[in-house]
Amino acid sequence: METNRDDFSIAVRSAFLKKDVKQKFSLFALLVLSVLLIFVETFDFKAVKYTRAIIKDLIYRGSVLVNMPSQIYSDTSRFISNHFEVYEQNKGLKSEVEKLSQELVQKEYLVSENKSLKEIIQTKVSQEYKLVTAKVILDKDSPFLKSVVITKGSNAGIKKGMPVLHEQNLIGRIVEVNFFSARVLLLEDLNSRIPVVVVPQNYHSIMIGKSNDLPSLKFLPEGNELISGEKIYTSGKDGVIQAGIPVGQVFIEDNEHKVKLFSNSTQINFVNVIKGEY
Amino acid sequence: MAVIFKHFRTRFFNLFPLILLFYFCLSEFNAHFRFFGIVGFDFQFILIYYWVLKKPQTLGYGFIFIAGIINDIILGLPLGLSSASYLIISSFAAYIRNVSVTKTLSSNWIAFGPTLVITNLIYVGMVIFIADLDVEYMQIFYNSIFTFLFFPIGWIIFEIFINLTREDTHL
Repeated sequence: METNRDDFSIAVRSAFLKKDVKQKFSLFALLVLSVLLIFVETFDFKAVKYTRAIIKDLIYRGSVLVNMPSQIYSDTSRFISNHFEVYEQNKGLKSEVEKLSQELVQKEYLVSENKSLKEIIQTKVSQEYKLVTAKVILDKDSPFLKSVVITKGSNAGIKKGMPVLHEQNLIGRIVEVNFFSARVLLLEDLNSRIPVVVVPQNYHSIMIGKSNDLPSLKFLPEGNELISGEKIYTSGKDGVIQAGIPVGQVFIEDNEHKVKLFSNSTQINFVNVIKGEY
Repeated sequence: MAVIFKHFRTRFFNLFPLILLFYFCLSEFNAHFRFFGIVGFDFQFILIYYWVLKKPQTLGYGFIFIAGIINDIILGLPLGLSSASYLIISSFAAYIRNVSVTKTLSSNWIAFGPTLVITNLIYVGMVIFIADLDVEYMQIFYNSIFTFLFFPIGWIIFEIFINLTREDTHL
């Protein structure tokens, strides 16, 4: 029995503490270093922050280089398939243009009416936002985070928390900023919480990411009468994300209020970050 | 010329598993291996487990640590999380190497199961308690299952690689 215990301790010691053939470090030392690194990550010292930002920038660029062949392949195949869809889309778009031009006239009237009404009640008439356009360089999927990395960082004045748009629609917010890159947490991520409002009923709610499923609406008023297709916008109640950014539309499935996002996060090449002060 | 070419080829074959590990950490390979929304697996786990078990000198522990750091940066996780999980896999593989005489596919496959469970438990624990992130438990569960199921395929591919390059490598 004692021999067995000795064998076990020898095997464990040999595996953890002894440096193997041609190994410069022992497993135990590196494990301790990993755990220390995890704790260092929680510190917010300037030196640590800057070193981290430089390393991350370098690795993101390295990753772009490594992904280049597969990126070229997927871009080419997407281009070819898009080319074949163009004719069909053209027909649909023509009729849509007609419909939209009619709606535009109506919208212009509503905007001017809204402006004059706001002037009457003496509120801030409009909020001008500065947009920073950036390219998506990495969109690696992970079981933990649904995020993308973009080509602009603190060099372009990007800060944590800023909302990110694809065309006019919200797709996420900035969660990490480096010198020349930033990470966007997508709306689909489990950790995403966005205060929204459903129109026309003006129901306030929190949109929560669901990873593999559509985001869902929580904290809706009891007895609400939402129907599929109603539009969802940011409410601005968090004081971070501006109000009125289009998000998606209500989709009711199994008595659960879900959100069909206006932008498909898997098909994004360029994004706009809203820089304006809230 | 032939000698230089042979030397280069030998060097390349010796470094191939390490290049592969860094490629998987840097690239979007894992993202592409998600079928039907559930089938995804950690090829890095299979690669590290196999090579530390069979030819420990091929992947240095220091390089495994750096690969983990790169993986964390790419995935947006706190630095050190993947390194710790890769090193835990390495520890199990090193322990199994020390206590076992024969290294058959079946025995190592069985040992890979508990290794994977313990590694993923520690990994998820660290993600929840240290990184304070919400995680999709089912996705991690499916990931673990498919990593376990894909192990023999990885094993066979690496065995073929070793046999094909036996003359060239000093493994």
